[in-house]
Amino acid sequence: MIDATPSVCIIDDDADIRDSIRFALEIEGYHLIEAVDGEDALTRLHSSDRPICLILLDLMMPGMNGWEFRRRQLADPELAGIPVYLISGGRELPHHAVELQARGYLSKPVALTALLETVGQFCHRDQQNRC
Amino acid sequence: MQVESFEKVLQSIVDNATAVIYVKAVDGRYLMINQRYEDLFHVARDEIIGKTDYDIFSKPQADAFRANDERVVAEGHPIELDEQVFQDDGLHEYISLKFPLRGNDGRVEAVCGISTDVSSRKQAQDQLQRSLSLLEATIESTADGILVVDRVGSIVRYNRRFVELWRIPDAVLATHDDAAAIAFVLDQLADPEAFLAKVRSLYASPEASSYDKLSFKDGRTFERYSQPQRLGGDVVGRVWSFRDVSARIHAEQHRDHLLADEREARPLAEEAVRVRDDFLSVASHELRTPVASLMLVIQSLEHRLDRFDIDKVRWAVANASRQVERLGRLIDSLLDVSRFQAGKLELKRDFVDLAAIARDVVDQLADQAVRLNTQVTLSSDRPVIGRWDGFRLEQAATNLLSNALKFGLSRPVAVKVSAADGIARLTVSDHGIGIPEALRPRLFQRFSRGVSARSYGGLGLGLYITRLVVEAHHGTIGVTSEEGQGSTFTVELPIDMAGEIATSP
Repeated sequence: MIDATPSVCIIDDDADIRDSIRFALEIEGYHLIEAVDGEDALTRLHSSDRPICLILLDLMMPGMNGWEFRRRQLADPELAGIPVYLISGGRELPHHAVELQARGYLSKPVALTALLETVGQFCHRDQQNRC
Repeated sequence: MQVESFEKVLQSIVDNATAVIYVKAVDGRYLMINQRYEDLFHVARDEIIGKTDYDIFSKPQADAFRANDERVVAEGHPIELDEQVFQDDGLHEYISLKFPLRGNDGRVEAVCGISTDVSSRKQAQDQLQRSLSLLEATIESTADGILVVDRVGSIVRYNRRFVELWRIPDAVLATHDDAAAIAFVLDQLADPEAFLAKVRSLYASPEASSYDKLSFKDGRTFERYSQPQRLGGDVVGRVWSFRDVSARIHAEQHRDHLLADEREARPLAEEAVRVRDDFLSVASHELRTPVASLMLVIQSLEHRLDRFDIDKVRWAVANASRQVERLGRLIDSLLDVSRFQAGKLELKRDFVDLAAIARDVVDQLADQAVRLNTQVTLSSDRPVIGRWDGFRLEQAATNLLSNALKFGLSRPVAVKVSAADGIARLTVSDHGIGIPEALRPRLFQRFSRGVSARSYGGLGLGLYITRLVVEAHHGTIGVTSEEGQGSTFTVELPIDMAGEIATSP
């Protein structure tokens, strides 16, 4: 049986952030795709054999940053419909969320409850892998 | 003409005179008065004959008239006198010409008086005195220097302020010659020729008014106004007024300088504010990242502790520990900046080996290099020992290697330590994104970054701190770079000790 549990995609250049999100979400039964920047994300999203239920997008990244990724994603009919939550910091975050037509934003440092609530809105858990 | 008719003519002239005319005997009794007398003092000429002034006037007045009359008799010649008389409408001033009338034997037999009412003339004179006094007080109390010159160039009037302003000696003014005064002041002016030309043109056109600014050699500035003086419709002279506006001009110049300084300083201040704001935004991002990681890991542990296996828990603790270290390093950097700004970079010098420091740093960043898939090579064939601050040099080397990893595009990074001619040298080379030439001059400045904050994090302090550390050691730091090809940073430190230590195998 093909595992069709959708994946959460986290795009952040900081390995510690990616690791901690993976740590927090996997124990809840979510599947995760990690990308270090926008370009990496575009490749991984296209090659994913699972549907993507949510993208958590950092803005400041070396290589392709969040703004450019979002522009490319919206221009890509295959990916344009995937909901995006910004996960970043700064006072301008709400402004960027509107600017980038994101579904919402999570301000770093993100409380676990807020992260789980957001992901829960968009994604089903993997019943088999769930502990 | 008959004698009788001649008398009539005389009587007619006397009666039609506007003056009061009368003849009194030496004992004071009236012999004759004219029509004017009758009208003014309400007495008929028939009635007054044989009467004296005491019958017509009050005693003090009569006494005064009598004394004057007696004086004429005694002196025997005409005398002009001021006399006052109360009339119906008040006190009147008269000028009286009194003269003796003599008999055939030459003795004075009578006194004739011709008294002219000068009350209105006297009032006009008083009025004129008051006007002159007002004018005088005004001219002297004004802050302007005033000079009045007539049409032939003589000084008519000037005030004390004029003398003070122009510092003209009394002797020059005493000549009343405007040309002499002008000659004296010319020397004080920055542009005497222009002033002279202006003065000449004004004297040539008497009707003209003019305004000008005069600059002095000693830095003073006067405003000059000149107006024709008119009498009736005619121009009879010219009034010059001078106002010392040096203080105002200086204040204006001072204000202009301040404004210019402020205009100059504003972009710098705005730039400083912008740089600080950028730094605060970047710093908060940098501090937020380890906190974010730490928070999720700790809260997950708390939330699902029963579900995690021991390996995951170990990983979580190691991760938490790493975030705490990361925070510590950030805080150290921030403290360093404020410490450096207060000028308090104190080196703790001891004998340290730069090669060993480089090795330690490469080891410490090995994890990061692996994560970034970057190969780091260290070449140092022998110890390079100097009296340096080991902690600070380690900080400098860490900053350089971190940057090489961060901007190195996962391509190989080389660290080299060498020494020659009393100079220790540390180079860190990468083959990464490189530094655009335009950014290089600012590279070692505080809060400067070679790349956009939208792409790369970091406080923008690494190279700044590194430069301060190197300079505190009296060393130098430099960079060669090519965009897209990579960068090489070179630190050179003087080995201020008794040479290098013998190489150990």
